[in-house]
Amino acid sequence: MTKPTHSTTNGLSRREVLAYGIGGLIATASMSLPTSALAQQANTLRIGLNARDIGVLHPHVATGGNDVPVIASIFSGLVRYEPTRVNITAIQPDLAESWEMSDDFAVHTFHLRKGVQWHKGYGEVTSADVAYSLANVRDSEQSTFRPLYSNMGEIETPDDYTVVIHLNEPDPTFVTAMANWQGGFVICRKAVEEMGDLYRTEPVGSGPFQFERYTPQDNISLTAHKDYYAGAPALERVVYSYVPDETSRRFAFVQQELDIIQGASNEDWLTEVVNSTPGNPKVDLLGPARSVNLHMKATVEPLGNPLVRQAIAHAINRDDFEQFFGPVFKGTNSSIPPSYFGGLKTADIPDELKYGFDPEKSKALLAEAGFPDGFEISTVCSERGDYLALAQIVQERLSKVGIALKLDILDHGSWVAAIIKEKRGSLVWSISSRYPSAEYLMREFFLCDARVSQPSGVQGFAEYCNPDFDVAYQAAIASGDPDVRLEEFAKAQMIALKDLPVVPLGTMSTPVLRQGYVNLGYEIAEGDDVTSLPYLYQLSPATSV
Amino acid sequence: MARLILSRLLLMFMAMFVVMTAMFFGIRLGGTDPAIAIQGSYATAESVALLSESLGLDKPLWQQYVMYMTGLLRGDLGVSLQNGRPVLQQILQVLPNTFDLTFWGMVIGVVVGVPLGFISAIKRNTMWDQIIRVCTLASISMPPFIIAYLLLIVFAITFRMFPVNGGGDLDDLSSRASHLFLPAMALGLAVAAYIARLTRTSVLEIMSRDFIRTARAKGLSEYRVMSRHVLKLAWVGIVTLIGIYSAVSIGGSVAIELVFGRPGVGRLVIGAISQGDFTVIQGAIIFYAAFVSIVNMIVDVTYTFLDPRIRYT
Repeated sequence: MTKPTHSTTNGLSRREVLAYGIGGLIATASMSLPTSALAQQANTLRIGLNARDIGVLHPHVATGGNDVPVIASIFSGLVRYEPTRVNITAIQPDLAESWEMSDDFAVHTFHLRKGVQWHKGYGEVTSADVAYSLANVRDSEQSTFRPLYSNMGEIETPDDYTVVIHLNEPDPTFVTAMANWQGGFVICRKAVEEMGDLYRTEPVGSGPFQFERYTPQDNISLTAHKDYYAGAPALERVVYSYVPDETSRRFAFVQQELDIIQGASNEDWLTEVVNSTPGNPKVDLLGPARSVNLHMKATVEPLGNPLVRQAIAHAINRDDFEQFFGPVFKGTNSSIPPSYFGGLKTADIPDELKYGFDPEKSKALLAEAGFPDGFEISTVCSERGDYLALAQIVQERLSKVGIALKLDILDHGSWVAAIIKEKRGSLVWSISSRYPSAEYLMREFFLCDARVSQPSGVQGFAEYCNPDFDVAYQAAIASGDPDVRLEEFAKAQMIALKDLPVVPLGTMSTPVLRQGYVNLGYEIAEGDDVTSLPYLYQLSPATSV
Repeated sequence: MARLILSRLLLMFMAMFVVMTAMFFGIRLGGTDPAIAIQGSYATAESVALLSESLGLDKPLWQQYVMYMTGLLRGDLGVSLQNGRPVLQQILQVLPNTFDLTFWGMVIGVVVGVPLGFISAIKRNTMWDQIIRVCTLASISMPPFIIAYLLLIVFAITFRMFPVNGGGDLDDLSSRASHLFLPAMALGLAVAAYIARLTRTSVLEIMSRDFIRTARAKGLSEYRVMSRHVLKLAWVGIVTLIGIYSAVSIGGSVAIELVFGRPGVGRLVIGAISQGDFTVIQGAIIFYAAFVSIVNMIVDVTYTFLDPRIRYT
């Protein structure tokens, strides 16, 4: 009698397949245990991003926190901010060695540094690249920042190293638009034309680090740009890992598998990570402060009534948010954070315009407005933790003065589409990170053109329009005198506070953690304000581990 | 056999066509607008309209559907609306990770689950049976991501035997295996509990049948009764469960992927949904539909080997 066989088509029996399989798994796993699992590559900085995956690495398109830190290491602007500071006084030369503007602030000329090289042998950075890049951010249908650069008119390149930009309207602070951020990042014409769509995820820039490899949902690695004009970086490689789970990020940092991570907005979480990580790790609360506001749509009754808006403002207690979010949240009384250029300090605001927590006054205002028993109102809200917390805290406080707020909770993407495209939402919470100067948030919240019902509308969810505000704003941005700008910005903010289309709630900063052995290449003293537009440390050629 | 495979393939394509059509229109009914997702809080009505036009989203829905389906017939899954990368390339890049996790999770499930179930059945109502039943019940009661966290805390954090995060380097076998071990264990242990319980029930049921009594009466050794008759028949039920669980765990492994920061098709879909990246969602759904159909077909074919009484006409 022949022994029965269990042959499969490839000639292996089931038993053999199983045996090889188990053997293989055990062998490969055990082989790896002591070495590769925890190995650290020399001269590699490992950064853990709070993100699932890449979005897009084209600097004129990307807005996400998953992409902008990577972009900031790959690209350069004509000028750059000195690390940890973002304002006009911190501007330093980058691709441009020098620059000047005409007396009427309408013509800006930049003189490029000679011999700056693109990554991967794409040649020298010339004025043609700069002109191409600026035209792209202003004109491309795919450019996210078109509206911010629409003031640029003709762009001339009299020679390979000179760029002359004519503005439609004078702007004494135009140089900030040329800094290392958003449309200010210069893209490589030759690479874009050769690579097409691939440029969106494997970009070529002229910054200290160049794109090496993207492993989907895992990481992006960059290598040192040896020909960087300011000298070859000390780091050989920077790896940005996507670690969306807060707990995994924490464990990986504690185990020193990651050198820098984006933290959670939670004091206990931060304290625990610092206490369990060896070697004196540091936490920095990075700015620019995100401005947190509650917009009240005037076209939805009874929010058109200023007394009702004031009643809502007095019903809200900013301490609630500070208790909930911890030290990353600070209550403020103006929509423009005090740390921004032109932002009002609390001391500069008259008491009656601070709209402090006062439920009794709120009830009295409601009665005066004809709602002695309060009223019901509904709105849409994002399910994202921070937005939902803001909404629910406000909902609770409003209920105490008789305002029943019904929240229709949507996933974040649907909520954004609902408030921007479908113009839904009577009360809209916003957490906005912008360049830290007053004009950006003012332009997006309060100008008549900012109303979401307008084609150019951005974040004017309150549908607010007061020509006096527009006049003060225009006077501020047209002036080359910083004192005049401050004065006009303050005037505009007072108008907005009197009309109260938006309740200023506070500011939020972004906690970032670094291991004690990370040398950023510049000093951050204890208690220093650290401002970095991508909400991660700016890397320099001197950064090392 | 050829007819069986052919008819199953035909069914598979029909099912995929229905899934694709439903999905194409279904995801567009959702609220997320890809143009707004890309531009974020910088979106204006003007800029959204321009971007939508350049992405081809302004065309009538039926026209987009016809374009997509004709592309699909050519094997073209399109490019991501978000980053312009080909969808097929994106799926293929993370597929090895998902395959590793699901395959080795199932292997662990079978290797641990079948013997445990078998022992539990033949040692029925003994201490061994009780221990195994309590352990499997505990494992079933815990979602796989909890098991994942427990393994992570013990083996990665406390004993530092495995890395905490990432999928490892796919070209480096050692790195790939060290990043895979704990996630595959987390998935495998969860599956093992189900398989053990099913194996126990099947074995007990078969052991009570007449032909087993006959086999014993013929004087066959207990080992031969178990290996030739009981276990062979029990495999039919186990293979069905493996089939179902392969399909379930390829989707359900997302939570484990998140805990261990592993790349995978599940994470790709979740990211795409939040960004309204329709083409990536569609591509991933085709992959899921094809995977489930193929597993079903394999299960059907396997039946005919395991139980000669099963015939398909």
